[in-house]
Amino acid sequence: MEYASVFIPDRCIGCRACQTACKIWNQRPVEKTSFSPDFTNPPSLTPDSFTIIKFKEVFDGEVKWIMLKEQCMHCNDPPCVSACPTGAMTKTEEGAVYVRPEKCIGCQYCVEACPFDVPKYDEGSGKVYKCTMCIDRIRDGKLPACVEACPTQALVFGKKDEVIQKLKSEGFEIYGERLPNVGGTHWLYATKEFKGKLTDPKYFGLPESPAAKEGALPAIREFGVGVAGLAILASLLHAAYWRAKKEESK
Amino acid sequence: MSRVRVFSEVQIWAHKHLIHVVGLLLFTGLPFFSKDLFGWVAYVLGYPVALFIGGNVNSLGLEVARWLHRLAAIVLIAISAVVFFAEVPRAKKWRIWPKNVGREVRKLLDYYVHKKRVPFDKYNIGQIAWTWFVIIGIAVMIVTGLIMWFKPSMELVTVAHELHALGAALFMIGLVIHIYAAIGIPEHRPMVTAMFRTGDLPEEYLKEHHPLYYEVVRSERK
Repeated sequence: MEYASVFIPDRCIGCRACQTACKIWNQRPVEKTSFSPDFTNPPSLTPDSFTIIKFKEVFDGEVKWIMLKEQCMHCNDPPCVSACPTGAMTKTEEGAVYVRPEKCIGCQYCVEACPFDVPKYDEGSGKVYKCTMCIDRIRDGKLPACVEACPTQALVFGKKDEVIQKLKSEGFEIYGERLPNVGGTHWLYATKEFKGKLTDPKYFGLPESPAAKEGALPAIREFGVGVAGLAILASLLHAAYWRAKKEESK
Repeated sequence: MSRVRVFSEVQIWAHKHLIHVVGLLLFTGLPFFSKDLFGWVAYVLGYPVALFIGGNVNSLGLEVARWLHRLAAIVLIAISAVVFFAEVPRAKKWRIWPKNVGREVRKLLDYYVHKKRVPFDKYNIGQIAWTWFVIIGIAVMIVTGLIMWFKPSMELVTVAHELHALGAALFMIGLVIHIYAAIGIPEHRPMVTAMFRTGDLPEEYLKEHHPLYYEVVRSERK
């Protein structure tokens, strides 16, 4: 059974209860804060902050603040899982993508591959950390920590199909249901107020086509193995041909 | 029978150790190159370690592979430095500067496809291309490998990773051809002996296979 969490920016007041709840549940330490042009803190995801609320000042006839929750998108076809050589990056049948720290060797191939720039490397432990979608809580019948903590219902959780159907019937525009390259995500964004602006760089700037940053790597691997195999075959054939020619010339 | 020196002591030494180092680099790089095809390498390396310290065999194997890969890379840098300082002063004598590529490619095809006796210099165009590929390829692999190791920025790492993988793929293909041309063709065995042991070739062999170079050697003797 696949699940999905949804962020509805229309309802977010930027209280960051989700950030705090995430830290508490995952037992991540607090981090030193810093001044920044907006109120986003920390300014980006870190190995100890699996989710953040991004504050963005936009001008839409009037100056207003919009909020964007960032965390792992839990892709249907996660490039991080394909890139991980150890199998530490795992996708569950619920749709959660999480790191098994005991298997992670800190190679950061997942960091390279992620189109959403989510996994973060921790220098101290030499491992990568990111949002787990609270798979441990979901399997225990609980809501993800951030969803449970949200006081304004800006975060919604449920069975993926049902959640999408309900939001659509209520007239929401949804981001993440279907996305090229990653096949859709299990973290969705839904809005009525900001229709057409979820992918607008001036507003939320979510990527329309989140391409894995691995680039040509998969093709290079296939090319290398394929052509090296052909070269072995060609060498064997040439060896036979060479010896036949030698016999001919005797 | 008189013999002609074709490889220097440094070349013999470097080639021998390059085989060890490149072998180790290939073996330890393969599980990172393709986990589906070469994931077994991680198990081979990880199993003995796991017996002593416990833990996930696959992850331990990859950790061991990564450190052996880095260690081998340091040795590769050292070998490259020795070759650089020993060989660059005599670069004029390398005879790996390509001339009239079209004609040389035709000669190469005549030799390998039609098995004709063709006049080669010290190296044919295939050997020249391979030598240049090795020189440039090793430099690229060292630089991109160091970027992947020390990770100055993830953007740079992504580009370095692609180039490193492409280099590895081309080296795998090139090595198959190089090894075949050296040991798969019986007529080339004196060259193998020269490269691995003596450094010299019988004059008759040189006259038959590399007549253009033979002429150079003869004129130098005069």
